[in-house]
Amino acid sequence: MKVNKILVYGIVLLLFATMAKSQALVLEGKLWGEDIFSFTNTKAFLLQHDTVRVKHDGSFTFSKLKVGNYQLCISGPTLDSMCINIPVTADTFLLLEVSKSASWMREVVVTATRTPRKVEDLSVPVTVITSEQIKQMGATRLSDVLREQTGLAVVSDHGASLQLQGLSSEYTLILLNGQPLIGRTAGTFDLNRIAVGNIRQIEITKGPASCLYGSEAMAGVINIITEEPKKNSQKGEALLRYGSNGSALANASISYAGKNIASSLFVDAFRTSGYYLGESTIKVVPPHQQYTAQATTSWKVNKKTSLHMFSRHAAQFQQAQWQMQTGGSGTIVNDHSKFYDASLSVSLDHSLTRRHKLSFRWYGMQYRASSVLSDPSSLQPIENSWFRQPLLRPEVQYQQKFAAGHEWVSGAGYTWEGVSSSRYVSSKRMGSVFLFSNMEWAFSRKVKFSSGMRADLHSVYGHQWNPKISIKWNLNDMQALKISTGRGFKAPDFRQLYLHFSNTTEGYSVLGSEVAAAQLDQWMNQGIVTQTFLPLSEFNRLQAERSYSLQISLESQWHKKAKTTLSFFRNELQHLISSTPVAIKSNGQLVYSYLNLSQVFTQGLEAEGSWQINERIKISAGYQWMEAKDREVLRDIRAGRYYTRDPKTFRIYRLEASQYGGLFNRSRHMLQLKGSYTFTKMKSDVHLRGMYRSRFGVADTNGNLILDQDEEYVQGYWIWNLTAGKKMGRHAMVQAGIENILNVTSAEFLPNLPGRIYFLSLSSQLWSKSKNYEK
Amino acid sequence: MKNKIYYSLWIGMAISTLCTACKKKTEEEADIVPAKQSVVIKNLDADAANKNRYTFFNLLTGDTIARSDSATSNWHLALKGTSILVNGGTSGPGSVAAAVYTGLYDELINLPELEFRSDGASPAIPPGSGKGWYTYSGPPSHLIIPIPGKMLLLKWGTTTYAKLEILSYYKDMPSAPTASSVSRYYSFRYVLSDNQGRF
Repeated sequence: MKVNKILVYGIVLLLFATMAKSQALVLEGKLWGEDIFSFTNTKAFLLQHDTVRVKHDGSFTFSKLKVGNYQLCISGPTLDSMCINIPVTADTFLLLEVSKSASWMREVVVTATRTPRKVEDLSVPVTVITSEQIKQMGATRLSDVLREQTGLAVVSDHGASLQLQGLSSEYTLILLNGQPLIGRTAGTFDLNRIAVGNIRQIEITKGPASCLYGSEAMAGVINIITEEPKKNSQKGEALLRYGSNGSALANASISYAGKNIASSLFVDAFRTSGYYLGESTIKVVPPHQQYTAQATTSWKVNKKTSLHMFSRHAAQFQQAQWQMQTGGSGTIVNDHSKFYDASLSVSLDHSLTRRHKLSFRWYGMQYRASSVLSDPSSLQPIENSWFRQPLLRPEVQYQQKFAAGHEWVSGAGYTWEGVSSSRYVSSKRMGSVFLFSNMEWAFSRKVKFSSGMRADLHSVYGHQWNPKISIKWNLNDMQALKISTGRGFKAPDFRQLYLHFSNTTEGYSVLGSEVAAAQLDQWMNQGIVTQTFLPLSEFNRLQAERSYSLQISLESQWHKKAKTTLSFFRNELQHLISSTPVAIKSNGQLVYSYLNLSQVFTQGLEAEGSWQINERIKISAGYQWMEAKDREVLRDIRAGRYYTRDPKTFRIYRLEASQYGGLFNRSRHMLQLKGSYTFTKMKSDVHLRGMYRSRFGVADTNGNLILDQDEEYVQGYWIWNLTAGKKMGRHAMVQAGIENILNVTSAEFLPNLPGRIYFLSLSSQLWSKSKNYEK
Repeated sequence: MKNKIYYSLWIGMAISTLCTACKKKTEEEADIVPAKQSVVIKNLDADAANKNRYTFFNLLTGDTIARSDSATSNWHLALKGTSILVNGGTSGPGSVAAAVYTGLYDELINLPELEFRSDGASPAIPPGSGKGWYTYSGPPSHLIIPIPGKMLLLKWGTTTYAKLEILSYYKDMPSAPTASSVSRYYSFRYVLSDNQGRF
């Protein structure tokens, strides 16, 4: 066993010499460490004597020792193994500080460079949410987890929609084990689709990462990493959870890992009865059921080659009712919808030499969604709609290490995407070839430099190349400054290119940019369209949306238990695509299409700090100030072209730039406060989290289409969540929680926020075997 | 030295309170009828019963005319829901032409250079959200809100002009209409020009 020098620094050794007995001495000890709440499966052994199991709370005892020098080693699945020499001359009590193991605490992330890296070595800021934190929250869906993170807002917009640095969900790439998740509604990836039961960690990279991941990685990347079985072990776990609104969850995971083959399975079933809010007569969140199954298999073919497979199947069934507006009178319709997604990723890693590694990855995913609208009394179907999207991506990646801190990764691949839908004329497909390269270079111990570039050669909307440069500068032992700048892009999606949709009840139409010109021409000839607002020749191919970004952050580790991060960001977005009226029909309704219209900037400051006061209490806080504004609106306001109406006097006056509140649905201030307390003796812990969102604009009420009046905002609100957990015996845990203690609700503006929720969950390790503690 | 600071603080506070006071006064003074001879029409029923019938309005008398007189040039504007027609071109025998102007009602004194148009293949006052005089908020509130700063300029004969500003589309001009507010009731103000085309 190797003594890791880096780890020994943190050892606090307290020796208490009590009565000097010449024989049958006792060596007692207690382990503790930052972020370690249980010492399950941890063992302590005296090399010349005996092995004992460390109790859950970290205590251990060796008895019947003789005077002499012993070597004490500690080993466990979540710890960095360590050994120290102990001279035993009397009964001795030791307090030992241990560190979480590298793959655990010293978080290793893969999103930032596409290769495993320790967080503190990176030149771009990455936040990691650990499985421990997810469990402490009692979270069930990805939305629950991300809602509690600094700088992230989860808003209601076609599902639980993520907002990062002021940019909406369509600009954040969501990866599962490094591969993209598809299936978005109006740009939103619904975060409720992802079960969090077997997540090892979630990596959040803020700022554009198109230089590695291509389209969509404009605001950032969320990479969800699932659990991998540990070598030579087997394990079974299960969890049951029941809460308000008839929500119930059951999940289980089993894993087996031998010397060369490892395999695991995770299944999760979730249901909720949905809920009413306020005076609504139909449920704002309808009853739905979700099922997820994920499996991994890995095979170490030989010392140099390994094969890894990950597959996921998920389905949701939902029974909704909607109020449909038909000519002023509202009728209720049933909407039975479902989605299904399946993905398979296979990767083959081969180490050519110690410094050269080659990886092949093959990834396929399919997303299907369908909905049947029907009359609630007769059950006659009114409208059937369906959507299918397949994606296929083979790629190859080559990694070369030159020297310590000097590494080069590059790769190439092809993405094939298709779509067919009831709202599209025919099935569509597009392909793109991509090439990327990323270089890291440590100039000195103080300065590390990283640069990357990616080219996407696309079959429909043209070529893109996106560079990025970042620098990490260690100011001193405690502080590091990280600066990165780069470009990101988002390709026009299928909807923006090919949508062909006419609303049956109201009569308006939406046409994708690739189909608009031909369809409008046809409709003009047929007399369906009376006038177009711009010439047909201007329905050019859409350009990709683009962003330029600057991210600066200062990370400070004040001492081992306290750290802070201060950051600034600015994103300049160009060619943003929005739907706009392009023609008028003879029925007076409009035809909309997608054009590159707006320029937006977002900028903000973020501050985060955490402090483990002692082994029982930990507190943390996070704050983000942010503004997001449309450049053209600002220009027009300054030119005196925007007006507003006083809602009481009906008087109109010119708007001033200071009255402009920026984009809708964004809060200027967001604050998070978290505190946890561990009752060591009772084996329990309590976690209290508070999230504040300041007021945000919801809709224009005075007709100028922009956010400028107090009436157009929804008040800010606090969400307080409390969870408490207690270990029962060695393997089971009970957790209870109250979410949204203040019972904040708004049927109209915060439909995804249920009122006060109570839940109770029981989790248990069904069995666990582990043969090898050596490494 | 300390005194000086206190004095300057006091003066500063006094000035700022004065300023806020006068600012408030001007805001309070602002009423929907500024001065002059603007006519304010409230709650003009524009097919509130949804019977697909236009309401015909005469700007000179400030009153509606009977539907039976719709084929005459006795009316200037016809309103039905959000759609506004002028008596001219394809809509009627009159000579009314219209244009949409952006600016402040009170500041518009001299007639701007604008292309006046009668109704044709498309109405002179463009229908549709954001195109003419209103924006439609879409679901869930489905509100029709007059665009602030937009007004209708109307012209008939050779020298008669009117500027018209729509104030509300809802009955009794609620300051914050909701989905349940009663719609299709126009409130607007207008004024006719002198014979030099000045308001």
